[in-house]
Amino acid sequence: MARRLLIAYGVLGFAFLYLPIVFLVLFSFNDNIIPSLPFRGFTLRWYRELGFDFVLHDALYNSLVIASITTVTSTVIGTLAAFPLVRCTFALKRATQAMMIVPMVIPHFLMGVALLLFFAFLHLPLSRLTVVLGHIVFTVPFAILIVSARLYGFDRSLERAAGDLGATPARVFWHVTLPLILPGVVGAALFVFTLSMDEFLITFFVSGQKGTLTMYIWSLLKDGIAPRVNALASVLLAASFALLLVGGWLLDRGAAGRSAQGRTP
Amino acid sequence: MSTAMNRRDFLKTAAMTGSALAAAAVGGSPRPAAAAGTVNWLAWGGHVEPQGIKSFFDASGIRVNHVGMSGNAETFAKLKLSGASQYDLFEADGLWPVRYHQEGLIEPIQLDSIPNVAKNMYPEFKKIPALQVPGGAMLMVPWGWNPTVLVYNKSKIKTPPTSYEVLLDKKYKGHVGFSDQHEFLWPVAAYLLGYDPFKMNKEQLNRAKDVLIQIKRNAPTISKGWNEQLRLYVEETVWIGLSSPGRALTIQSSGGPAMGWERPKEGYVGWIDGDMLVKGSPNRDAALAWLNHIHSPEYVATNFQRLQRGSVNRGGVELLKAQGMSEMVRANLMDQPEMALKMRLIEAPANQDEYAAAWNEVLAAS
Amino acid sequence: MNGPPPGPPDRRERALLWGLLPVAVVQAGLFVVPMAIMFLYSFWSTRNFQIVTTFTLDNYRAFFESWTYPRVLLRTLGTALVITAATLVLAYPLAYFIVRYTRRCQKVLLAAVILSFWTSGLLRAYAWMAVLGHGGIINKGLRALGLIDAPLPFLLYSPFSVVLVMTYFSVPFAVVAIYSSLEKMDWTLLDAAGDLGARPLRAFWHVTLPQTMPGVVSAAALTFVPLVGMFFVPLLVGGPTSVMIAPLIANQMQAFQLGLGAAMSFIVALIVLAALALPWRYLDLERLER
Repeated sequence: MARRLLIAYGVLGFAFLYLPIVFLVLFSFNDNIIPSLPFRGFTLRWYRELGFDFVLHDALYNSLVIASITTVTSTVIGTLAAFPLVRCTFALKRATQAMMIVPMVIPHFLMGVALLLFFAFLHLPLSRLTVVLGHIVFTVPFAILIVSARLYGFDRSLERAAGDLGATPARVFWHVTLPLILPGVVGAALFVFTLSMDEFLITFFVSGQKGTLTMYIWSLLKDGIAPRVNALASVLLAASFALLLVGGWLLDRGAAGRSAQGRTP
Repeated sequence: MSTAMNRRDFLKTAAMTGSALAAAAVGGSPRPAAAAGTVNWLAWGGHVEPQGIKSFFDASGIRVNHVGMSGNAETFAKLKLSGASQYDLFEADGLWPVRYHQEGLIEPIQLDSIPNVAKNMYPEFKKIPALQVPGGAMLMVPWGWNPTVLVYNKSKIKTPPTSYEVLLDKKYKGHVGFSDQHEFLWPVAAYLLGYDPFKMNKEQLNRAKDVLIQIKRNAPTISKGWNEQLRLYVEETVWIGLSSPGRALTIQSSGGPAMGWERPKEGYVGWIDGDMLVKGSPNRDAALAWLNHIHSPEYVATNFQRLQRGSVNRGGVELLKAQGMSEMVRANLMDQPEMALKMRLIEAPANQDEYAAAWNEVLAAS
Repeated sequence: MNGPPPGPPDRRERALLWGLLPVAVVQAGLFVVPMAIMFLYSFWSTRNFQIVTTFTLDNYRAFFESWTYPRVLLRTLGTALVITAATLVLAYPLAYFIVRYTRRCQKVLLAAVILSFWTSGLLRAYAWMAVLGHGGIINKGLRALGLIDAPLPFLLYSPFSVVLVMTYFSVPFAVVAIYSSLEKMDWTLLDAAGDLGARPLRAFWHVTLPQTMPGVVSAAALTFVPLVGMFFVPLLVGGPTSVMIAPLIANQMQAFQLGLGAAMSFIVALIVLAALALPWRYLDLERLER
């Protein structure tokens, strides 16, 4: 009885999670300027509008550039930090861990305000650089967390074996450690990328004249008449889905590789 | 070994992607570097026609980079905080260009030096005294205009409203429009209390603030832009509010109810918006070329059909009439430019700080 | 099992410590310093779009002067608490369902949870406006069924809609957090309790819940803190008389009231740090990753 209730709840829960997403997709095909019922007719014209919306293309391009630079930087910084946090014991370790977490949870509007004032103080004009800096600070903790998770489950005997066999620490890292934590690093990269692409508040405060995707969406929601917003949402959903599949596939290959290695004597 | 191959390929791809992106970031554009320039245009989202931007690029190779603006005071503050040098053109309403000029941010323009403006603009708009400098140059190139009046849902409100008092009427609780465009709300309170909308001192602002809070309590939400207001009127959540004749028609043509509009007896304000050229802009020629393009009859006709309001451009208005839109032209007063100059235009208050503080309290009040 | 070998840190380990340098630089330069600058600005004022750098307590005075601003802050905190509670109540059973009753498609379901919050937040909030509005599916559906005559006013632009939509946003994170905790639980204890005659509810209360409490507390803290900064959801679906602190501060920044905005932000920052410090016992980094 409890079991059946729980299963029903599970199904309802997922329906709740996806309700607005389903509506976004539905309305993207609705031949109606206002995102309301009734459903007036099936049309692809909102998707076509996306095709020649150059402001959108520029915004998307800017967001991709920002997200890519953020991803590379945050993942590298996060990976470098994960090692000492997992493997070393040192004074103030717990305090350091605490400091790592704070930028991850602090409300983005606080970060945005602080960064805006900081850049104003430095007379640094707002640009893609300021957005990248804003994105790096809150994504690094996520990267640290994800890579650390991978490092915790790490069997160090493999590293020690390689060391015993005469490999230098650099070679050990390159040939043993890195391949095994690669799924974690890739996972962190994917996560940081998504966080950056979707980030709104910090970007709201510190973006300059190069618009980003979230700023574009925000301005569409406010100004003008824009049914193509729904089409945009559906396209982004499909892209996230594809990204998720790729990520999952990469992680699976990593796991397969690792178990293959585990079998070698 | 499969994992080793994996890693090497991965790193190679990452390195190539990384360097390509870094190069692109430095270069700044996915379009060919042979582009003849860029125009950074800070403007109302409703002025943007994607097709127009594309045809301009095809014809001249110049890329227009549009950044949305949300309000005159906000734009002014943003430019003071983060610098005006990032933009080539910005937009403002009413008499705000005077403020920009006082700060030395803009360069006045001889309107007749822009071919499409010389040819197509109604003469009334070429010489707005408050916006002219000695020598005849204008502080901004006008674009559109509208009086801010009461619009109402004819089926829900049978007698045409004649006074702003209707916004305070408790029987319309939950159905009164209230936007975040504070510079259009202060005049409502000011006119009701008998003050000058743009010269209220601290005490007057205090009283005006209470009026606005009362109106706010009658509203379902604080709407953030035209997109949201349109939906609220079409869905008949909001029955009465501040807007313009053209918007009333847009509501109807978007599947909404029959709308009417009235000029309140206490008085009303209006706006003429337009583009200002940033002083010292490195892309000055490209900016002027873009201004020329948007004042072509085709661009004007497309934009004003999509978002109905008064136009300054006779060429565009004639084109709309030729396309069979005479009714829309008449209803929007598009061919009556003299009406625009009869309005009290919005302007920047001298004590902007006090207005901002008062608005803050309006927002925060329950 | 996999910790560092016992004994004093060797040369290799000390070399590893350098890895902390980049993140320390990032934290110091892009977090601590900006916060300090914000603190600095809170003692300055602005006049006529210029910053006046004479020290003043006026901004803080303005905040506490009347009840207006503190009320906004308290409303934000109160709403955040309600949303956190609702989120935990909704998320826990969902996480439980995924762990216990879905062996085969567990990964798929988790991916589905994660995918739902990879869709742009702005757009999902926008979609909720369409669902809850006067012309939306709930109102239209209920009217079609004849259950109501006029659209329900409280569905949108009310505290209800803010709580509903923010809970919707918080549930996926909470599910993932609680899931990791549930997954690592020793289920044999639950079976043992059953064997000893405990009914499912008792077993849950005395065995499962205490064991997963660290996960729940982490989820609570990680849910509550970002909620204090909720911005676009209250703006899009909230009522006009219940503004939250973040949109209010944003408005101040946009109006060049930098001093007041900085002061209010700093007050919020203190509250946020306090909220993080309280359950710190449970927010052990190692526990979070396991």
